[in-house]
Amino acid sequence: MRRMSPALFLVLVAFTVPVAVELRTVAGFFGVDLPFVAVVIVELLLLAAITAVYVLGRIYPDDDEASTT
Amino acid sequence: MEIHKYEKVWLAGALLLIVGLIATVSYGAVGAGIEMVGDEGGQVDPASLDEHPKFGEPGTYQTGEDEYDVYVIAQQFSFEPGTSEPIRVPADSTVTLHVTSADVIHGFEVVGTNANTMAVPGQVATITIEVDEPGEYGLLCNEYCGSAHHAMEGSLEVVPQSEWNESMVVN
Amino acid sequence: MATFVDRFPEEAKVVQASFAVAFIALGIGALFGVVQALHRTDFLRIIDSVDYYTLLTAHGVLLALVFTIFFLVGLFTWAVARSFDRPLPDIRLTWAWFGLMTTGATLAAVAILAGLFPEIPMSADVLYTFYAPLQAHPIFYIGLAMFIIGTWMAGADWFLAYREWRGENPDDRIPLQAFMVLTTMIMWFVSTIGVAVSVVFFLIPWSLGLIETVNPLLTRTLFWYFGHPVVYFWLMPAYLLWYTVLPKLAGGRLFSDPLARVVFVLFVLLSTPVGIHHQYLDPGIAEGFKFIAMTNTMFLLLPSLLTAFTVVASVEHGARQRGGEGYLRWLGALPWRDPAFTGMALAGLMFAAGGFSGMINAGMNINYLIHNTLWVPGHFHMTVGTAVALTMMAGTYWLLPQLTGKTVYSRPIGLLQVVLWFVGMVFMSNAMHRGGLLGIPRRTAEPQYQNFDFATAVGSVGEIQAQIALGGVLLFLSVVIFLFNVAATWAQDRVDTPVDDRIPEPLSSSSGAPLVLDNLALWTAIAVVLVVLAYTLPLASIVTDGGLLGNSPAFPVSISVQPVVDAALSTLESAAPGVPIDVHSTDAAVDRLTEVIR
Repeated sequence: MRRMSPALFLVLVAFTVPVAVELRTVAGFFGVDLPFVAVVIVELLLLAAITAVYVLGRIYPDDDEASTT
Repeated sequence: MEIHKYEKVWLAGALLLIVGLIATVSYGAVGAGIEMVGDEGGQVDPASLDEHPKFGEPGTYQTGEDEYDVYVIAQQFSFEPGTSEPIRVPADSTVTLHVTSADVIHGFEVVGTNANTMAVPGQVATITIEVDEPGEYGLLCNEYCGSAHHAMEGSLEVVPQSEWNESMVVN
Repeated sequence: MATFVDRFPEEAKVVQASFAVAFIALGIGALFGVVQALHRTDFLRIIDSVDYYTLLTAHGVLLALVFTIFFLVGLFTWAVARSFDRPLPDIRLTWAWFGLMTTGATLAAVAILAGLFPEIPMSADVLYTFYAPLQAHPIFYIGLAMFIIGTWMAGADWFLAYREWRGENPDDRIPLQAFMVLTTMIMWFVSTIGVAVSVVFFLIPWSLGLIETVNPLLTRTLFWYFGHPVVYFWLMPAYLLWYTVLPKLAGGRLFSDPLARVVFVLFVLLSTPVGIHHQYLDPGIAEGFKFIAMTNTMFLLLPSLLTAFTVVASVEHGARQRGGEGYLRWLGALPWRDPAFTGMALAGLMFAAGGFSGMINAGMNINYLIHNTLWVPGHFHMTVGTAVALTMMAGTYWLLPQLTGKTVYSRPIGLLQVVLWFVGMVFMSNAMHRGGLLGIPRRTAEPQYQNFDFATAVGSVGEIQAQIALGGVLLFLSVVIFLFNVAATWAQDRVDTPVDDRIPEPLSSSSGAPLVLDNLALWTAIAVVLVVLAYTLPLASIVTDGGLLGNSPAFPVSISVQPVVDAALSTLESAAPGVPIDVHSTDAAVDRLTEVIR
């Protein structure tokens, strides 16, 4: 896995917020009314995904990257 | 001057977007006939509105079959008519709103619609709206007009044709 | 290696002083901002709704005028001294304009804040647009006039520096940063004539009682003659940083110097003849004039779209220099740890979103749906409130070390601060846009009405309110962290190399730019001609229709609203008995009006 810097991790986490909030608006355009809980769940899923990539990148860094950083 | 190939493509796209935006508005104005606030309303003296032939007695005037003029005065902090009694118009009619202000600059917004204009003292704003289904709409001032601005509100009532009667028009 | 403060110690002091004023205004303005966000959403009401408008006026004036413009004069002073590589002609002139601007801003702020104290007979609750015939205390207008004249003197200072430099370098191209400063100031000189005429010839004499009446449409049109270019006056410092500093922070260099010049020339030409697009809904201005303003406005998208390309291309180049690869993977190679870079990148991204909502505002007919609704502050909190403000805060993390010789107190805290701003603004401006589509008005202490509710398509009004309140709190928190970080930086000890302040040459250098781009006199002349074409007829018809001085007497925003409320109550009560109406709603309206009396 590619190693992710803590700063990039923080910025990506910030980006999940508008994505989760606006997903509901987009669903609304297509006539699907998601409850507010759905936003929370989507946000948690996104956070889990990013955290997983971050942690995996720390545990199994690519060989060349591990040697340079 | 050296311009990168991708940048030329981007420039062309940008110009297309701009021309497209202007074209849609032009189509809306000419093709779909969306009327916008212009200078047709003319001028009035804000200090002597009560001597004005129409604003002297603001309200709904019938001007033709299914055609009405509504004269509204905005003032700190009410609409007349609108606040103490609703603006009343019949369903399925064409209504021209004439809005002016007796004191400072106000806004006139029928909530949830695009019937929206500024009320500037000395000027008369006119907007023509097509009224269909009966119903009640909120009316609010959307330009800061003084310390009780947030209390300036009213309503517009679209009355069913069957309930429409003489007492609802001024003339 | 010597940085700015070592080479230009006198100029560095002026820039630091300007930034200090800007940051004080930012702190006060942000505090009022969060109070308003909580008040209008009905989460926490610690002030009277009457005082809401005092805070709103202060919020607008302190942030949109004082914070942005003081940062601008500081940044431009830095850019002029740095890029001409010479001190300013006479530092006393520099301190003179700083003093005049600060005095003017303080007078205006005092006049506004006096409105919070009923015992002081002074008030300026006219909001930052100060539309007559609402009338503020004369000190407010006088302060604004002094502030504007101060900015003119600052412009003159930089043009004098240009003249000295030109004397010694007759054949050189104007350095890019100086070119940006000079073109921005030309735009400013042309556009502030409107507000200066309005304030000096009409509003000051009128507030002093020397003239009885004003023509409200005329002063309003003169305000907007200035009111749109001022938007670009806020934006140009951000563009200066995006073009000349951001590519360097990303690890590369600017893509094209000539195109940067083209963009700034376009802003000189097109910024002013567009102001009527703020008046699409005004009576007394013919549709044709509004259409011309709209066409110009749409073409003004062009320089911003070009900027988007150049800036993204420069940043991508930087990422590839740092070893980034792939179509999108290079994004991961950017220096996200650097708050200056991350802040500017997030600001630029949000500017793209704000630009799209601006296209809706600019559309003459769709504008009717959102005019004066919450959509509009939603839009400008993305543009001036993020593209400009966040870029300025981010830029501070790179500039302050050069100005003080001290390293930034904490870069991780800085990173957290810019990210917090981004998240807070996503919540707030997104909810404001949606609220605006429902018709919720802007500039209102209590957007909760007796007669009706706002109908929502998706979600609920309560949710929108909660997002606005949450966003407002996060933004305020971000400002507090920023101010702490800046103060702590100022308190550090000086070091030898506080920051890498080199700016590499652009990939396509200025030698490829046509010489005509540097012909400032030509662009000024064309800009003036365009303004004359766009404004002569509308202004002539406004004056012919309503008279130069009009017929609107003053409506002072006095400390007491008692007389007005009494008049409104008597109208309501006299209307009530004779008319077949819902008595309950009248009573409610009466109660509502009575509430506002202190």
